[in-house]
Amino acid sequence: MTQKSKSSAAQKRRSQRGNQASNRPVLVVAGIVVVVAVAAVIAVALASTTPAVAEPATDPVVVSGAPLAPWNPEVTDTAIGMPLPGLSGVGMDGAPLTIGPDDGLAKCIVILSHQCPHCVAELPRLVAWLADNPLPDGVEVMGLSTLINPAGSNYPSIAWLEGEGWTAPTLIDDATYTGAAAYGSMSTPGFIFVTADGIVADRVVGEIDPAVFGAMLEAIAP
Amino acid sequence: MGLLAVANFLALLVVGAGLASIALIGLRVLASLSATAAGWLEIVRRAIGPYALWLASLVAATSMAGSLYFSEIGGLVPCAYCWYQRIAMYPLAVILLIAAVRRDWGIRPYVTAIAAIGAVIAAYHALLQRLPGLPSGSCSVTVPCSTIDLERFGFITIPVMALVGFVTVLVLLWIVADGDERPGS
Repeated sequence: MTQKSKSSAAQKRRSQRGNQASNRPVLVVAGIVVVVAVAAVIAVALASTTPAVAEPATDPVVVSGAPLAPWNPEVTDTAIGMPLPGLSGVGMDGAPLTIGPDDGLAKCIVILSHQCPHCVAELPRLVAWLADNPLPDGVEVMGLSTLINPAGSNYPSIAWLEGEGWTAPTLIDDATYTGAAAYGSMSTPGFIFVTADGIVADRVVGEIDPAVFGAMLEAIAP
Repeated sequence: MGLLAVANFLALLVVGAGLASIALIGLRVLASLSATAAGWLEIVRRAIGPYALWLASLVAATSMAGSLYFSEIGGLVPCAYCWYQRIAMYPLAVILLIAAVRRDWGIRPYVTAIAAIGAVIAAYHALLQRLPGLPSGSCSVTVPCSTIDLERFGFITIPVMALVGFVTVLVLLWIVADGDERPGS
């Protein structure tokens, strides 16, 4: 190769490198646009897919009776000794369900949220305890699934509850958390222990030992 | 697009950014052991290194826009730790844009300090959501930090998004732009 042709080849390579460098910002921007467009298409497609299990459509939960005072574990619970308000709405199967104070049974209402990690930790323990221990005579366990949020973890709540083996009759709270508000619930999980005559015996906030749960059920048994 | 579509969109970007960051960190480690890996890292640096400030600015701006969408349009109320992460992320969106326009690589120490603090808070927040027993035994109904009020693909929550955002900014500034874009160059 002559000196002239070498010089020409080098010039050509420099020119190509220059062109590549000048094209680079365009390529970077084009790459970003492609990534964003693909992500947007996939995101919309995923958001429009229907989940296999759907949360039952809920009308507003209807409250009968005076709501309980807001629940603050740091002060004396003024709800103790007060009548439990009734809640009417739909259950996990979409059929009407009422949590009433006047069905003649003592009860524990377990307030759970699918997006609360404490509830996620507590639920299997409760399910296991309920499977291994018969309820005291005249005592029932019911649930209130609240803070339901389609963007949250473990949505829909009924899939989570059923998946964990929770079979207690459970009311699905509405979009404004009417049920939780009527119980004065400020935290989940929550437990409301009610005597057979519909009076609140105790309220407990947070995860509890299933053995304590069992003892409290014994305490409210008629 | 509704909340779920936007969340999916941001989650997909997070997956991409996270995988890219992990790959680049791995490549950086391998580059100290292998000439081949060092060659690949050099190719990456030459290709996108000059734009690292712009890309970091884009990451911070997208994170800021996403968090504002979630709170102002999506109705997800930010908890205390969300606010601490915002305090770190929002200034990054501004100062990285200014630095990109001015090609001011001297910004790196300041961005690093802010992004590192943000990453630590985001990591703790993400941990709190998975190990909720750390601070308490319940989720407040009002604005709990442990509640997972947004989760996509089974693991991407808002603090995870923030964590990936902070780490991506750090990777862009310290690994991708570690060649010709040194401070003072």
